Amino acid sequence: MKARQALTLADCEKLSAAALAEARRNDWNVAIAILDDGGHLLHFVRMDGASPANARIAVAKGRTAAESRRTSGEWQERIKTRPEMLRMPGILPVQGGVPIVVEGTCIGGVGVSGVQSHDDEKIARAGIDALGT
Amino acid sequence: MKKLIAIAAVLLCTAPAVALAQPYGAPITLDQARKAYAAGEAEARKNKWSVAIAILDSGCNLVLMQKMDNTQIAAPMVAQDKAWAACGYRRNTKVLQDALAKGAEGWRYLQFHRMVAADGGLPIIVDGKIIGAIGVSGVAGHQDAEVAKAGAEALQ
Repeated sequence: MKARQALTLADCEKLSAAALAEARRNDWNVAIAILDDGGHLLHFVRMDGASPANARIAVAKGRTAAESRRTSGEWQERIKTRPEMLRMPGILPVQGGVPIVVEGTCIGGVGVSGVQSHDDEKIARAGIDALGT
Repeated sequence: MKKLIAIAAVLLCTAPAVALAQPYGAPITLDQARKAYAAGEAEARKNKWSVAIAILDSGCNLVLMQKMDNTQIAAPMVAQDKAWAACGYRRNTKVLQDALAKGAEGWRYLQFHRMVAADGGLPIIVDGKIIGAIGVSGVAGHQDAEVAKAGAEALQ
């Protein structure tokens, strides 16, 4: 049997706090979602000022990354030459979703929404970096 | 106007019999949501329960969700659904559960939009206004409700 790593609440809190700190440092208001490798929501925060749409978009970006094991930014690039990929189920091809990879295995994803999408991704990466994996 | 009165009449007849619900207020802040969550989690830990707790603002939009370790995968979604019903219907979801339990007439609530007739969802009321709602899932309904109550009361 293969053992698999899983995010604990403590891991999620650490990741979320680091991402939140990155957002605050830049005066950005965002929503941050953390999902497991099956695309199920584990942890979510929406800063004051981030919109209800940001809440849904953050989850969708994170789910895209968690389930496809690619950043949602990679999907954004991919659809430029292959627009049929827009019809892929469960894919939101907008930068800001990043898979969480531990020892070569994707164990979940982080999605951020609220500012420019390349900055959303920056926040997601700051969170994942804090995990120290 | 006539139409409005008719709609009001329908609403009055269809809503479970409880005191008139509080009006919606300003949306809960993230700090307030964190406080409610922390109180809920403390209550769960005290009882050795694993739960997911979701907190929505007064527009029924997600503000915070945390799932404790060893909570079932479905719990975060159920917690959000309970919170949505508590916020959207401005009621403790236990009221809806009780309405169903009465049978016959109460069963129609199963057909209502996003209705969750299960204990564990509460509006969060501050200064007489609904600023959001808390939903809890993971253990038995009445236990989920205890966690939700601890969370909602932390803002009193």
